[in-house]
Amino acid sequence: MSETALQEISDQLVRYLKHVMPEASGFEVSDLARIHGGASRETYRLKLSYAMEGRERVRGLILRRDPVGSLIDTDRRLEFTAYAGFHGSKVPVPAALFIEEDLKWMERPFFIMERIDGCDVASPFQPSPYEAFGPRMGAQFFSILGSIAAQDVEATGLRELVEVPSLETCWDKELSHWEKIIDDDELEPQPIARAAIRYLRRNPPPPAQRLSVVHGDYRTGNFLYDSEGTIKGILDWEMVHLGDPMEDFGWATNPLWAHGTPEKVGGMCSLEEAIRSWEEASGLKFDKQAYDWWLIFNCVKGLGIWISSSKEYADGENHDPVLALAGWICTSAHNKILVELLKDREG
Amino acid sequence: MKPDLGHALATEAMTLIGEISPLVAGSYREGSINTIGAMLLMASIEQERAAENAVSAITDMAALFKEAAPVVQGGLSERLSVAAAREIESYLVSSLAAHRDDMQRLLIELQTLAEDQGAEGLSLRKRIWEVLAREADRNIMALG
Repeated sequence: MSETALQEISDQLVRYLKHVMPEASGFEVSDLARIHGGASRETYRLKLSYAMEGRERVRGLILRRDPVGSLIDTDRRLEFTAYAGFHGSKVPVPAALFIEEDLKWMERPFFIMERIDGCDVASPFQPSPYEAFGPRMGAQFFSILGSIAAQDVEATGLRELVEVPSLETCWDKELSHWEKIIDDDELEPQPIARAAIRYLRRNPPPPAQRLSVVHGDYRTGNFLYDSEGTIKGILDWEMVHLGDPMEDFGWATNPLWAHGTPEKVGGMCSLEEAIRSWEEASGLKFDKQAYDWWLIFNCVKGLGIWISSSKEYADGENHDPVLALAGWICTSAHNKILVELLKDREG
Repeated sequence: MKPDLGHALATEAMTLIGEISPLVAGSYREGSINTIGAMLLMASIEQERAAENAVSAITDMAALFKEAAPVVQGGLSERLSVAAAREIESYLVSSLAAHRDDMQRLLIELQTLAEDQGAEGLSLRKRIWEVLAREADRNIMALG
């Protein structure tokens, strides 16, 4: 990204902040840089200096701007509402500060949130990034997931923004959603995904124990942790919705996110330890039948994501190379995992 | 063609990751350059095996269809026989991929039918999953 383009964003930001923070003055943006933060939105980090109530202040911020061509998407508001809804709870998230959908400020909708400094994010392809912290990090990770499941849905403000399924229809809503994405976006036949979808429909899970907030992409690589191994921020709430909390548990424990250590879920702890932490925080009981269904479902969901990424790249809608790389590596990995999960049940 | 395409792609991938990427360390470009490097590494592996993998998949499904044709009814039986006997027309990767795609559409149809047959379709279902397992193994792509 050119210096000119960054300067333009900086100028636009200052104009916007003057508008939404009339009580402050002397705005100055520094260290503005684009960072990798998911392929669906442009993400920038920056430092903002300003004066307010007679004091000079400096604040680290994150700007998330919609990419070209997604002006009618509504999920930016969903993501922003999720951050706002969980801020201050047991689920660590950065503070959501401003959301703006008027195109006059930055040509595209955007939102601004607090930056959490001094932390790392592991790449899903990194071998054993959490090894030094042992199962303690796994306990935190699954305890936070349990807290998401325990959160009062009404208090988050999400109910007004999303379709609300019944306890009996959570699974069908999600399966139909991802099946349609595969229908629409597949560039080649997907016999393994199709077999899995038919299996899931023939063997539905028990009803959800509770209607919960489902993060939608709760996995290793989507959280910030400090040098002590403390999780400081859960990120990437773009796919947040209401549904069965086992959906997130099945995604978080998917072998794809095990960093090459399949005996440890998320490359952090045993499945038993994960269940213990999650049950304690959620107040729910782990149900093996439901889990098995959601584990298979999440491989189909993963395939939906990778197939969709591949199409987006192939169509030229988005040139981010990570879309193609994910399309190659993750599609093959999820196909392999699905075969392992299904061949003995179905053959 | 020398140097080998795979060797050249892998060499340039390492240049991107090892030499060019550090020049823009900490920036958005660093992540993109590393990803492009990884894509080149993948491409170096895939260009070597793509034709063989497609031929193996086609051959595997053709053998399955030949076995299955006599035990299924009607039009599907005939289409399975035709697909099993279809010859490979070209070894261009795009042509092989199109051939494999046609076979896989038929495989989906066959598997759906076998699932509807209950106990009667068990052995066919087992055979299909063996084919799918080999296909998943062949296509696995991993960094490192």
